[in-house]
Amino acid sequence: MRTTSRVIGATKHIGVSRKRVEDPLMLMGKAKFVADIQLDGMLEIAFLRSSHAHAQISRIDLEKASKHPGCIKIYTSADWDTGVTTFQQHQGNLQPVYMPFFAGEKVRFVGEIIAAVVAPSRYLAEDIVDLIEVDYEPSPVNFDAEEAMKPKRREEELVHAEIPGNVYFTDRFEKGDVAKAFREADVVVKEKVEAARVSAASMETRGVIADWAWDDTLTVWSSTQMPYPLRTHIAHALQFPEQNIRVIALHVGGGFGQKCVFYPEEFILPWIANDLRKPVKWIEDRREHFLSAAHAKQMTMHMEVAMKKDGTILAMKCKTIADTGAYSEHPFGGLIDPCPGNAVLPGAFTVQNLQHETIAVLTNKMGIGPYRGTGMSGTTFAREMLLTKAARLLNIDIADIYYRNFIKKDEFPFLTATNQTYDSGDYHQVLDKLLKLSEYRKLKQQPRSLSSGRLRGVGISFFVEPTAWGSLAAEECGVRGITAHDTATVEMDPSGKVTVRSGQFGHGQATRTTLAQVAAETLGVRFEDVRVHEGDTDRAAYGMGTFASRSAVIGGGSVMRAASDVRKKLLKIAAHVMEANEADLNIDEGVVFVRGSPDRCMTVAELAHITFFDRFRRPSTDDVEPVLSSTRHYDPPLTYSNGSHFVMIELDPQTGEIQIKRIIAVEDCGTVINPQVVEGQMRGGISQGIGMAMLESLEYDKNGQLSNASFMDYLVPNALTLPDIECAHVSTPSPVTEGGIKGCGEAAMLSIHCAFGNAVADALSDFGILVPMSMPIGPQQVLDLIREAGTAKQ
Amino acid sequence: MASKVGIRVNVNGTSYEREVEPRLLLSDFIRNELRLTGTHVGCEHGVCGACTILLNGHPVRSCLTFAVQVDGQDLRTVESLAATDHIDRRKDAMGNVEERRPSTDALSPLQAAFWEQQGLQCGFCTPGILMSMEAFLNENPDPTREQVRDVLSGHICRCTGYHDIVDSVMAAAKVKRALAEEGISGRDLLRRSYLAE
Amino acid sequence: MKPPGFDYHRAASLDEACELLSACGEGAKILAGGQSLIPMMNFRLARPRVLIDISNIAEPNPVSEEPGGIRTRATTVQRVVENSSLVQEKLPLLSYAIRHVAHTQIRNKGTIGGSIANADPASELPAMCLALDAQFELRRHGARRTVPAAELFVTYMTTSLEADEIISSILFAEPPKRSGWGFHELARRSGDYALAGSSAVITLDGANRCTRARIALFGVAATPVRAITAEESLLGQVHSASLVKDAAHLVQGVLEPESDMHVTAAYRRSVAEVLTVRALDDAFRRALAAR
Repeated sequence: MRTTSRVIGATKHIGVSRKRVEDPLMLMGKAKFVADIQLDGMLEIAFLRSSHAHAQISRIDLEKASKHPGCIKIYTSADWDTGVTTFQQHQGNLQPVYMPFFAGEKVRFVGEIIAAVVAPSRYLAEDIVDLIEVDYEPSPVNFDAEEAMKPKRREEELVHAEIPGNVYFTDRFEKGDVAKAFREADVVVKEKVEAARVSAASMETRGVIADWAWDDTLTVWSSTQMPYPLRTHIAHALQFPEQNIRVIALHVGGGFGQKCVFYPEEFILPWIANDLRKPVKWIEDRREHFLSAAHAKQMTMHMEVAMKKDGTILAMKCKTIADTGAYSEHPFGGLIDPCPGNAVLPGAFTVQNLQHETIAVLTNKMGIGPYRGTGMSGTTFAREMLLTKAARLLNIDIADIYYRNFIKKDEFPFLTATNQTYDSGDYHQVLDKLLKLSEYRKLKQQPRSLSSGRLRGVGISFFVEPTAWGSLAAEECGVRGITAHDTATVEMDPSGKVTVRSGQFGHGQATRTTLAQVAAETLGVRFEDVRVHEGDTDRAAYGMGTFASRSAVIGGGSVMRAASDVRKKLLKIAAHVMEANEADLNIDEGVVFVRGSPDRCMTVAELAHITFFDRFRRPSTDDVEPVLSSTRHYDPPLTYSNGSHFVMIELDPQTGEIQIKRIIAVEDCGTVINPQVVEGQMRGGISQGIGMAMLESLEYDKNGQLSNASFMDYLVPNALTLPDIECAHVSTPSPVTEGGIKGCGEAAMLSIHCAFGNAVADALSDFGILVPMSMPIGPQQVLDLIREAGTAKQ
Repeated sequence: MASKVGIRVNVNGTSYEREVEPRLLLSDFIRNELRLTGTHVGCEHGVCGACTILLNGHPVRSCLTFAVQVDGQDLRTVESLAATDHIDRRKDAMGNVEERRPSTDALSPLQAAFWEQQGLQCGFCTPGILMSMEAFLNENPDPTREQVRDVLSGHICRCTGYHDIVDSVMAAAKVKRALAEEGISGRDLLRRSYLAE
Repeated sequence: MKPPGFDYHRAASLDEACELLSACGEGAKILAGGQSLIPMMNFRLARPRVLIDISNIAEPNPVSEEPGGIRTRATTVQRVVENSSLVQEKLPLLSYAIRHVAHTQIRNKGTIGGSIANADPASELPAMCLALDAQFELRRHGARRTVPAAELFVTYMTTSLEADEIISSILFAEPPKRSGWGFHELARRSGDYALAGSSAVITLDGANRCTRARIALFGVAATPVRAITAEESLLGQVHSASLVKDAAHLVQGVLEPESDMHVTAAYRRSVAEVLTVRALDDAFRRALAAR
């Protein structure tokens, strides 16, 4: 695999912690999020959402509601029954699961949209929603995936009548000789491991504004991670000319994958704006967010690991049952959890015998969508907890299990047991560094019990993260038929300043900053002279958006390619103007000069001016067109980051309370564009990973009601949950991507929870071999583990 | 529908008189009536802290207060921190100025420290955190990291893992102390001294 | 999540508030700090017809000393009580407990009286009323009465206040000399409602024998509870590990915990006992150190 352009010249901008250009506006409260936009004559929308998890709707009575003096209009499926979101994958035996924009005769989860009320204010709209009467005829609720899979006698028990058995996708994969490996094993560990249903719960909820104008254009503001694909899908769903649609996502307050889904509201609002010819606004409230913004990660894994006495992993088996809710969320579908989850099972290890099975199940809950690390969080947890248990049975430290099974640095490219091609890495170096920084070996020699009565535990975990989600990455992660390339345009204006138009869209990741760094580096101009446009389909370039640890690699790569074109063009013009040999020219900080004689120089600004306006000095337009811009595409091969986490906890064996005392992360994401931004990603991922490990779980009861649809009860980490987080880096640039960049956004969500679980097992080691097999691990779960040990002893 | 009630409030040094419905939340009043959209709404049940403002100098949740309750009182929002009148003037004179350049020399030491230490990512929770910390650093100019975390625990940030926010507040405290010792005042000066350091 | 409409009255004094409350009749509610009421209204789980706002009533002496203890006006915000030097000196337990109520940003608005009248069994202040022998001064239009803490909390989020009655002040008794206190709670995160909590006040005589004991728990029944049998088991005794352990075990008699999505009832039972041991140990330690 050959890459076209590399990091050119001295690295003045790459590897430098540039302050983020995004920040001043946000710090001053002047950034515009979707809720901040006010248009003249704008109306507000509130939705009536289903209060039943599974029911036939026998009657919707709008009479009282429509008599309310504030009521402008109410829409239901009677007004628009053809609208559905669906997904575009074509994969194995996958059956599409359609989600209507408005529920028609049937509702399938609590929170599903039944009606949209338009009123002058949100306050009034909610008053009117309260007046709508709906008669439900409840059906049996599928609240547990393994129950839902069992044969059903009556059609009304099915989530979707056309999908028998509530299973819409199954898959089976095997490589090597798994049965033989298990026969030859010295130790076999077999467990049922459960990962809870969680929500990314970004601080900004979703929100949509749509405005139709008399030139038949639609402007849609949405808190989305993927403005361009949304434009395409709105055009499709509304049968509206795509060139007349503008989607804007100026500032988005976090997404983490959850806003990488097309939601009914994103079609209903433009449709209503078009119908009413008035701007309309809907801002999701926090309750709606918990009920109806994609959930994630709920899976049950029946996993087995076969090991030799010396700690060699011989084989793994994993049957993954994903509880993907009532609909398969567009565009990735519920497969976004189990498929990538199973694909990363081999981790950093050489094991070649592997079998996995995927079952995607429909239940009467909100649908599953992507969330940082997707289902990889679940399967890595299963693998690591089983390895932890096996290590304890063999009396080998988990670190030594890692060392024994690591892929060595001279074995790359390495084809894993799930057919992922790892490009590069030095796993030994990363783990060495982590163990040294944490004094892991020394801590493991010390007693667990502290004078305070608490138990200290230390845990580590090692991960390999597939990054750069392009078409090939999706394929290697088991989500097929997805196209996910990207484009970037780099333009130089007559004053020599640079505009980058990117298909990425940063919503916290500082892509405006990092892509400017890449452009400045490649072109040889000042960082301050580059401006990046993203998130506005009238100003940016078509691209899939920011998600799945892809923006640095794909965004960076496409900018690098386009900037490299512009640089070449500029040098050609400079050679002509300066009467120099093109090969002798270099650009640095906006000055083009002849190597070896820096007196012979011109500024980029002068050259740009000549290119645009001075037809006597520039080369003939037959030779070089006076256009200083380039649009390039990039769809890279998958590149794999890796790293390791250390967690030290203190556990109170009487109450089960756990305090985290220390966290260290060592990560290798290849060429680092902006170390501060990368560390921000590392720490942020750790925070969400710890949330998943010890706090977060969306709890549905047997009636399909979500018991904790608020920040009071859905617990995310606060500043006292977490200690300071130490970061360190190892860098093995990728040989397969532009500039050697690897992604880093999701890393911690494949690992930190495993290190945490490992630390819990370590803290409890005086009680026996106690390894947590479900997340989250709260005080109740800790005491349950200890009690389990007590029962076992008797 | 309940009849509207007249209120007068002082927000960021400007006095406003409005007629409001009693049920109007203070957060919505600030954002929609006064068009000060820097104050964000993240949960409307008082947990996330994004809507935190200063009421008579003390940080409170604007989503757990009715606008009618703050009649005659003094409010401060995130818009009061930077010397923005300076920017607005430049904006008027120059027309459509680039967003990032003119703003940076107007940031307060607290904001500047957040910028320097990457105390934000998506920026949605930031205004509330800034307001809590503005009051906190006035009360406690030389805090420990634990004390900062204690106040910060009244806010949820989903992006940063809090570490960089704590760094930012500690850095701001240090700069503010140094400036106070030297008796320097004036926001532009503060900003420049900080950058020089 | 926007609150439903209501009629609004701003009271200039507590007397006026009482008058309005009795005049407005059913469906009228007092709006103090609003830190529990307004979220319930935003979820539309509470729909008061009328709100009588007492949040801007400026009363003199929000916290004052009087014979027998410290009186706080019900309208005093929690943060003022927490930071009051008088409270920190005379009632360190109260100040320490208030620090566990949500977060500073909530305590800047939430009032002492509001939290008590809300009577959430998992919240700290109602339990402190039990631990510190509080007396409530209640007011209604044309009448006043005093009620001891033991008689106020009826069941889950329910008090014995009449519909038109409000708490005007709370007198927390200052524990006798040579007293010590302990307070332990367990929450999923700092600032959350407690899964379970326990507090203790112990008074010793010259021979270090316990002469007075208070044990109050929260988050473990439909109301905050005092463990009187456990308290009595300590009287006349000198601190020892087994004394404390046995006493803590006796709290089981007053616990009626429930299971929720976080922990089971059994968990609450077992942890309430553990926390009581710790609270008692701290209280004895502090009392022994006191002069």
